Amino acid sequence: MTRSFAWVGSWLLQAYYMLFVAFLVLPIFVMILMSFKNSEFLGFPIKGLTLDWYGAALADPAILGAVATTAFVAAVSTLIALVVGTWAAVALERLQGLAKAVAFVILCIPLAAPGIISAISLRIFAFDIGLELGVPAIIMAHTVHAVPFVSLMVLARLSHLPKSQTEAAKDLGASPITAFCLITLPFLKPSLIGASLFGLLLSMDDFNRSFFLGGFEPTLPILVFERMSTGISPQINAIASIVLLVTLSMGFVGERTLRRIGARK
Amino acid sequence: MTDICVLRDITARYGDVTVIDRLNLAIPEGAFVTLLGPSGCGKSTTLRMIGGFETPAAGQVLLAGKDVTHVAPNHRDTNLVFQDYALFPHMTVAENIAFGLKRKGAPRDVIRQRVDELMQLVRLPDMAQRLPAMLSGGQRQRVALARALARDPALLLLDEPLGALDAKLREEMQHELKSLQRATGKAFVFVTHDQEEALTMSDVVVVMNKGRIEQQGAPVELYRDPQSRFVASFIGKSNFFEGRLQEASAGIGRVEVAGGTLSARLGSAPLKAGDAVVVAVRPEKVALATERPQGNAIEARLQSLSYKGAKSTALFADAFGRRIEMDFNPEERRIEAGDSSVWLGWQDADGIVLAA
Amino acid sequence: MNTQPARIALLAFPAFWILLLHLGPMLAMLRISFLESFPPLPGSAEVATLANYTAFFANDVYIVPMLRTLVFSFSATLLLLVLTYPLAFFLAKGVRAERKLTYLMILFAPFWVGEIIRIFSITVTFGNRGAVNWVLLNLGILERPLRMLYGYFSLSTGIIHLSALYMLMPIYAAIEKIPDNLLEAGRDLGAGPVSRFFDIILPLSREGVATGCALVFLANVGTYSVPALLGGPGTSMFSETIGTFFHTAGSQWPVGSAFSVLLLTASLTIAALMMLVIQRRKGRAR
Ligand SMILES: Nc1ncnc2c1ncn2[C@@H]1O[C@H](COP(=O)(O)OP(=O)(O)O)[C@@H](O)[C@H]1O
Ligand SMILES: [Mg+2]
Repeated sequence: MTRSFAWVGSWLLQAYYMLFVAFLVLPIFVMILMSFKNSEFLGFPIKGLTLDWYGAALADPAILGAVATTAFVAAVSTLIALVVGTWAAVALERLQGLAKAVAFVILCIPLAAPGIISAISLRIFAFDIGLELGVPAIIMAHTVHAVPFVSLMVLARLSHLPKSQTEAAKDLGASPITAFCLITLPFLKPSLIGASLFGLLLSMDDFNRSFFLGGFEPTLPILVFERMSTGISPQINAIASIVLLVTLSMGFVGERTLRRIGARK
Repeated sequence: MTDICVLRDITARYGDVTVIDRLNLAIPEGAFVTLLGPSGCGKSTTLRMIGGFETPAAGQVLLAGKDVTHVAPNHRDTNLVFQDYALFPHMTVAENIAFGLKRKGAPRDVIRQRVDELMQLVRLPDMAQRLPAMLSGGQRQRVALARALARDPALLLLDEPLGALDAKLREEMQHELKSLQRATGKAFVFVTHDQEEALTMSDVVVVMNKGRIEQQGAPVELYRDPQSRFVASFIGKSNFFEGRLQEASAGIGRVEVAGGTLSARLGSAPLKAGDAVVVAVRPEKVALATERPQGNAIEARLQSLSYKGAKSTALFADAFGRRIEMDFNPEERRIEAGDSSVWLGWQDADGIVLAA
Repeated sequence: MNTQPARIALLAFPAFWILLLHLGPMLAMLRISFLESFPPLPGSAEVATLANYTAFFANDVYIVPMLRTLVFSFSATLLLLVLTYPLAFFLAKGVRAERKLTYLMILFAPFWVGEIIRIFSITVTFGNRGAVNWVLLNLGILERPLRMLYGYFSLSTGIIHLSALYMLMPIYAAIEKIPDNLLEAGRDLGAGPVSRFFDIILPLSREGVATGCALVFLANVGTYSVPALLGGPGTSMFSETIGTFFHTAGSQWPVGSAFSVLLLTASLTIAALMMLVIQRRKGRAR
């Protein structure tokens, strides 16, 4: 049998895809390579390999502190965003017409606002409500940033939940809250896992908000930014490679989990 | 009559699965031919091979005498009406109909004239500037028809085009399609799994089962002379009595069944004494009597009655566990619900002996 | 939830949250942009003024980066559209269903890595002593290292690396949604591959193109790290201008806020215009 669209899958597009992937991956690959280079001097050629930079990075208290800050901020902001985002999604489902459209637009402001504007408006807001710059302010900013993403992911799945399911639960005597916990939440599980993962990545990778709302305890991206600005050292390669490893493995584990859940359905 | 399209020993496979097995079929010019069969029997695949969307693993497709087996759909003189219409949602009715003509590079005024003509033909007045989303199911159906006819194809293919319509509209469209086919004089190949639809519309019905043709012929022929148990049950309804052929002479076979013998016409397939056979009898040929009738007779008890207007059905069961259906008109005769046994009978010529 | 109190309980909290934390910061920024000084001196009242806005138009130092930002962001958006559309098309209609997920995952994986690390990796790769120059020098293609960093080339590279996904995803989703039988119908009616692409795929993916362009444009306008780390003195962007007002506490914030409001207004207008132009719907309801 001929495939009807064989012409689309022509080798030309295939080659272009591979080229593009290579273009995206090349710098990351080079960076990892550099992290093993046994010289102070950051550049090619590479004459020998060493693990010293990793040792130095892992012994640097500033880096270890940044790792702890980053992890703490990511965990707390994701947790809050998960609750708020899901709540907002469920509430949005109940609205209709203009109210829904307006609520949706406001919900999406932090997502659509250009990064710099989102960051400085949150900084002003933090000042207005008397929140000191530093970890609490970053947590607020990251939470606000993550909420619309969580809501969108939950909404996407929520729209596939037949209304009759929760109605059946209520018909069988469940209170609205019981129905939500026993029917809606389990149904949302895959999107909640996806959203938590996305929220964590969003927070760990964030630059704009962490930069403008940060205090004296930098998150990892800020630390890397500062060291880059004050003169590049090969140690940054090692830090960056460690962060990369953590992010990628989180991504893959999450992807796996989601696929396993998908397969069970 | 010459044949506009011929399928010669066509085989189709998806992966390792053979879905069409050495199929031969000729579509006469100007005929309304229907491919009929249960879902999954390979009707769409056959149609798609005629249209060029699938290339057969073996065999040939001839169109107007030319081998088009490896010709792409856009270079083939056939057009297809898709099951869900596949109208272009971003184009108006007029643009949809004009699409095929533009691809031919026809001049603008010719296109406009032809589009008007087609909109008349399918009775879609004043809808030229609407988008498909603003049309009802029946109207979309007509646009799909007009669009497929626009290029004046040698052969029009229709894949269950009425499947999405409700019962009443469906019946209306059946008549319309038939008259459209007469008006254009084109050969239509129509796919359906609905036997009633097939009988209503077609000049020739091709009954398919599991990738093969079971039987083909005019609707009357198929109904009167089914040549297999499958056809007898798929086209109309039949009561079946399983047994063994005792003797065959002068076109009549005597069949030994549980509880007696039955006589019936012999089907066209060669059978000899001793073969396992079935006797098929249409429900409307079964007669009810209180006394044992001459000839074919089965003693049975009434199980249930279902009222369906002029063609109501009574369901009987006999001592051997066979269920026998009988059609009757409640205006003409009453059947009393009761527990006493009755006799069912029919003329020899109303039964047919088929291979089991 | 049929009862009124329950409904209110459900809606109240998220409504409060988004009004306070989503709308609040924007309004706070808007308010400050009209203030003469911030925070107001102890004992004196807030004074409203338009001076923060007029300051922008008075000085080339502000106008040029603003124009540069809008023009560059717009060009980069078009560049990304051209670069990713074939990819989206390939992924949506050219890859067999069972392989699709793998193809998508491979393409997505780099985007899990954060923006600073990716920018850093670009500097390592494209620097004067970086991998690319080293290879080109050793192959004899170049005699002296090519300066690739701190100009429009590295800015574009950064944007492509960071924003490609936001362009790709909406377009992919739109093309994926086009039923295959529309393409078959096109073929049946005589359309070759070129006509099938331009008459069916392209118009039906408009929605996705519009969304992708708006998202990417807004992201490009708002990026601070890309110009700060990959740009040079001649390519400074408006986000950096705004940033300078917020490195110090208080006093400069009103001007920075006014500039942010200007940037937001300009970029939202352009994004909306892009969407309008791309989505240009045929008004054919009768
Ligand atoms: N693209 C495909 N891939 C694999 N199997 C298919 C495909 N299309 C159809 N089939 C199989 O081929 C058989 C015939 O299908 P089809 O021609 O669509 O039947 P019909 O139209 O009579 O319902 C079915 O068993 C179906 O499952
Ligand atoms: Mg079919």
